[in-house]
Amino acid sequence: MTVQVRLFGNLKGKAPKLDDSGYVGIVEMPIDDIETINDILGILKVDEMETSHIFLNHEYTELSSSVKDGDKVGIFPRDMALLYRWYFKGGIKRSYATGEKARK
Amino acid sequence: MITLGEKVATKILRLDMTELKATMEDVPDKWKNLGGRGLTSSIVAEEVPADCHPLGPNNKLVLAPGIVTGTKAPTSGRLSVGGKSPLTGGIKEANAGTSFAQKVARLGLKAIVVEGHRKKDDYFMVNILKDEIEFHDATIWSNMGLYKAYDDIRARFGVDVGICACGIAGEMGGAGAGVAFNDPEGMPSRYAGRGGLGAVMAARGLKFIVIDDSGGPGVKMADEEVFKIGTKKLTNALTSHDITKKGGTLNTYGTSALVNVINEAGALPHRNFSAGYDDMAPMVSGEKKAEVIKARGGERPHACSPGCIIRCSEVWVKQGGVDPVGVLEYESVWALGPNCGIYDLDDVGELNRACNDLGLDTIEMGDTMGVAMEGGLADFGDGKKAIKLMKEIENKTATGRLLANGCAFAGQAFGVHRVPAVKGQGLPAYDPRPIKGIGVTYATTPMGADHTAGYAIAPEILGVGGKLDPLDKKKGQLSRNFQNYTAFIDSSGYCLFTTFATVDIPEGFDGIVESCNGVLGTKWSADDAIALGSKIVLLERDFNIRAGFSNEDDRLPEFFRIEPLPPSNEVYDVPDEELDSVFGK
Repeated sequence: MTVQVRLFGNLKGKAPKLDDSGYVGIVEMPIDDIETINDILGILKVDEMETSHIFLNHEYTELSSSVKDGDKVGIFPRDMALLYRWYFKGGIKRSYATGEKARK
Repeated sequence: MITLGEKVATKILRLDMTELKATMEDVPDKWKNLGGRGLTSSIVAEEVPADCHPLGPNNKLVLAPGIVTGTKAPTSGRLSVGGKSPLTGGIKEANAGTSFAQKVARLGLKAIVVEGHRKKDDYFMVNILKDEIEFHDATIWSNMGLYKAYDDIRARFGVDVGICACGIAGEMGGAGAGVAFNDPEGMPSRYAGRGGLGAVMAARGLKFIVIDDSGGPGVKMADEEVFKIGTKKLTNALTSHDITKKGGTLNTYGTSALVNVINEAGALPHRNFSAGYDDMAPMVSGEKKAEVIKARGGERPHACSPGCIIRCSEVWVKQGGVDPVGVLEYESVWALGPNCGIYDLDDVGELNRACNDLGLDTIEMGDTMGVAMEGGLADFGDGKKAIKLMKEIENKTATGRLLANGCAFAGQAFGVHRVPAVKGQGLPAYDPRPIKGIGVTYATTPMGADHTAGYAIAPEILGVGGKLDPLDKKKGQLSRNFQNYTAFIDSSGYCLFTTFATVDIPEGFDGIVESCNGVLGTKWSADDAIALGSKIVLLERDFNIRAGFSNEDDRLPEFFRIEPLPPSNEVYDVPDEELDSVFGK
């Protein structure tokens, strides 16, 4: 009854083992200790600001998402950000590229 | 002799390859505020008959640096290449970052228009100097790899010259042939790759343009102060944003940082678009590549052209630090790697070297190889066989000619139905099934499947609900807005990667527009700039309509709509009406 947490970039050092490639840190976490992605960051002692993209079963997700037995969670560090910051936090800004207003 | 006088900033250089004559003319008023893609597409739309054969005498190859290219503006060494595409049959713009672009601009040239047709078996080089345009016979470099040819040319004309070339693939009229430009080391690794423009160049009998801007007048500036204020705003944005700053994502890992991110998102196409995730992807990731380059004594980070402050580029080398290739971009690594089931960076490096050497677009070649593997020409994952197949192109065998013509051609030859192409052009490194918006761009851009034409990936892959959920099908407006924005950036001379910062920091985009105002003396607002982008896209779309395209060509291949992609098991289900809404009334 575990969740597989996959740590990328400089976060991989927080895992007890690496995958076959040697470039992804793997942590098998007992599901009993975890309700949400936030709990996983807490156990790993990783601050939210150290992260960029987080995926749950290969879909982009957010910190409050629930996890269940057998789930896979991928966590990327801040220096592997490739998306736009305004999705995460901050005020409403008009983006000329998307023509959209960012969310609060 | 042609003298480039004082008022050079408004000149167009025409190269008549039938008569081997160069003429210089003033830029007409209607084009004087354009640059890059805006200018190449305007010239092509007006001067190239939409129904001409792309390799015939009536097509033209147009090269234009961006509005601020050649100035001190950061990250602005871009040059657009345009023409009618032999791959898509529509209008094409492809662009590259290279010192060649800056040299064209600093000689005061707004555009180079290559016209006419190859008469005999000869190839020619055009050497552009401050006071002279020379035509030289270049036939001795025909059938030669471009790495060796670039070495020869630098030995003859000087190590600092800018070089533009077509390779063997272009010489054989291959629709997968790109136009090569020099990197800072003088290697042919910077490409305006897409759409077969290398074949358009070769069909004019033009093998190289060599340019030396010594003594050139530089870029004329209407208002230096406005320019400086603008570039400062952009510099602030680029140096403070996590993606573009020093030590940020692009600087640390290059574009290949995307390999693990997109694989984890279940959208990295493996084995000819048959899966969106594979455990093997980290073997060709940006993290691994950066580590290997460091260990081998290659270079990373690295600027593709002088004045870039993002510095996402690199120099990949073989074991022992020898035989540099140049950059292995994300798209190239994906195309020649996971899309062919190849997860060995050294094999990918050699395939990328072969593409650079032969004058081929890496994306098209990877798509073609993936389709050919599915058709049984080689096994998925057989990197050594793939490298051997590149030799078939070098030797101009029948198989080589087939491969040099792109994935749609290969699909027909091998009887494969899973052909990842729109308007004949192979898809880039994002499967559209789990990320719907990029699929709208692939389907509707006048360029054929092209991620850079409207990079919806960045906003939409974060699916925290609402409009930007990657699985939300209402993406017409998002794609249109991105396409318009991109058409302006491609005209400005700035690298598209500035967008990562300017989308988050709007002052950065204001700075881009102001720096263009500084060069041109215009008073554009940000909205004016986007409106210009929209005008360019509509102009390109109009060319395609005249060339015979209709809404039915703005569709993804059938297999995306009927074959679920593991692990998400999504199909592409954006309705046709949504696709048609992008350019609909």
